[in-house]
Amino acid sequence: MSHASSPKDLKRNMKRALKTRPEIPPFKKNTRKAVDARNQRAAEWPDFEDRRKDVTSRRQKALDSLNELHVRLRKNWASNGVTVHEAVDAEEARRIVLGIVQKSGADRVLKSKSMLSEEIEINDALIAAGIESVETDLGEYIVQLRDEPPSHITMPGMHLTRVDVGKLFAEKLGVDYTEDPPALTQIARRTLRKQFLESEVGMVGVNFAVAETGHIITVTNEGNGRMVTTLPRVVIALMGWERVTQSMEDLAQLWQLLSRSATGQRASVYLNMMQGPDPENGGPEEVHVVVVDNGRRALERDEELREVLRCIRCGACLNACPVYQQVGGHPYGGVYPGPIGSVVTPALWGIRSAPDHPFASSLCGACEEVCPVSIPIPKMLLKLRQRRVDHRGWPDPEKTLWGRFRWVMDSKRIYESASGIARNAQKLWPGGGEKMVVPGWTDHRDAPVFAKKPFRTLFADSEKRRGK
Amino acid sequence: MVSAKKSPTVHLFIPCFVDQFYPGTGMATVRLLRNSGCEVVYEPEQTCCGQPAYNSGYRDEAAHLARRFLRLFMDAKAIVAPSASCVAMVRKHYGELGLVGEDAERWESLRTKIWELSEYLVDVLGVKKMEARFPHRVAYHTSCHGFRELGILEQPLSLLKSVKDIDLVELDDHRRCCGFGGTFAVKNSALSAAMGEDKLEAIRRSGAEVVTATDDSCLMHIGGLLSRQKQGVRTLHYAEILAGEKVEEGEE
Repeated sequence: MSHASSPKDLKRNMKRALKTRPEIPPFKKNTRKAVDARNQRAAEWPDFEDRRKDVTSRRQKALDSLNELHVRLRKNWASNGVTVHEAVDAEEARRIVLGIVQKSGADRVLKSKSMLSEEIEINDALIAAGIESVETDLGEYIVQLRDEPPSHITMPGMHLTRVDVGKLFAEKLGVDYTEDPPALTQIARRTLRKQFLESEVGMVGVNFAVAETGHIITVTNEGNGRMVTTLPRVVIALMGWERVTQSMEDLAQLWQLLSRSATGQRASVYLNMMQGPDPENGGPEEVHVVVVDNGRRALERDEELREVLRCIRCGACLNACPVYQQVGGHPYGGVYPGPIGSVVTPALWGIRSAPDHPFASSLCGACEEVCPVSIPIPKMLLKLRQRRVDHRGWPDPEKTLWGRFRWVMDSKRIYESASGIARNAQKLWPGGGEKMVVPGWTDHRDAPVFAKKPFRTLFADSEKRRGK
Repeated sequence: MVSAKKSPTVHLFIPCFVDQFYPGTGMATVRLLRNSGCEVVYEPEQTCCGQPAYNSGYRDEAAHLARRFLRLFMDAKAIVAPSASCVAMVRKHYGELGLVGEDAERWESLRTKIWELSEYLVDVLGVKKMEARFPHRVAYHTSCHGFRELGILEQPLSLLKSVKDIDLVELDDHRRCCGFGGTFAVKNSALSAAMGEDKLEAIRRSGAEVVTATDDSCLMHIGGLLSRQKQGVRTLHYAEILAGEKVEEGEE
């Protein structure tokens, strides 16, 4: 994985992305397909809204008793023979993973898709230590070959066409060019299969950990997650601290909503459930879970934003987002793109880490509408906008502007004279009022034109005519 | 038009930019309410509900204007505005401003009394039919704040459908944002315009001569793009269509 650009460059990145995107951007087409698929699955259940509410409350309940659930989880992990590691931050997580891999003596790690692994930038750390890291999810494999970060939470190569992938494989794998998706899949499969059989360490993300049994759950479509957790001798599971669910019943409900929301499937092809080491039956000898905090515990105490920890990383909000549809995921920078990324990034690592993210939204609400766990993303973006403003220094031209706005709007007299002055100024604009330059606005649009008389005057005139 | 049993007194809220740029929307609102048997009151002290400041992260400035708004309208039995997003601001987002004491009490009481125009006509007064004639192909643009925050869609559509000779068409993907988003349109101008461009494409495909909506703010953005590109498609608030204004006189 190459480094994603910094989240701080969002505004510049987005502008550039709009200029350089292809005529028919793949993310525009692919998001549309994903939205249609999701909507079809939602429409299939007449009680979809109720199920969504149910899953939301299951997820929230788990968050509300997270400490207690963690205790039960640890107990079950201990009796299942799972080794638990705690990482406060990304740095500690990297050190732990590296330690496990080095102890195993492996020179290669097989990875199944994990956003948390992107978050802790484990690939770079492994490579720096002379350890090869191989992505086994097809999409992740493709972006890894391109030396790019994923552009989507569940569909890492969302920004690519099959022509892009065909060219990539021909160049990097030395195969004949083809753009036939099944043929491309077979090429990746052949290349990866060999590695599965030769690798000592597997690494997976954790969608859910079930407190009442200790099961570690990975949701995949390609079966790579299962191979990564069964073939290697040592398995490392990277888990965000909030990913605990209470029961198998919770899991059953969450899995269905996750599948329907993420890809429009009734159920993902694989639901990988790992309980612990099982060498007698050909399973791994060691299973390690690395529970990563990296800002999550603090976020849990953040009254305004803690609900975002309900997120199950389905990516439905990315697909539904009209901003994401225009630019794809890369311009967001960092790890988590789209509406949820614009909340998660500044929520986990502070508003200074992603100062423009909360503003990269028209607040249209399409994200909240499709979120399977009802995260009020627009409301959170508004809270984060307020935090951004609170972090502005003084003097600050923007603050001054809004101070003036308040002053004008606070008084009928000032409002009327200010609008009168603006009206007269616009009248004088050469070429007509709609040609007036309004910074930002008139880069792309004509200016709105002040009416000859405002409503208040027209209304007063008509009242006079009515004899009132 | 069906007239209401009593004649309710309605306080108009004409948002600042409608007051200044789109007074025709306001006058159409007056006409529609009067035709439906309402007494219409307009308090000229009113200015802005505070939404632009709130959406830009300036909560204190927004709260100040919210308190002003609540003071001004506290005795109203019904407030009607021809702007879904301003109604959503008062009905929903005022609750996020940390109002306390009598301000909070006023909001608690007022938030159930403020209506977007079509909500008031259809849901409160039970209006079903319009007398207007509008012989044009019209595309209805679904405003995000109207649809997602207030659940408005059927009300304006049912009224528009009853207009004589109107050719009402649905835009492809009509629930998709036009890209306005308040100060988003200025802060992320290119992005906003790219989103608007997709909306324009849908409008072109529909063959509409006129684009209408519950919100002049969306229409200001869509109309600004259309006019810059000389597309020959006009924007007009639905109130003006329902009130029987001619499209040629739409802007004034």
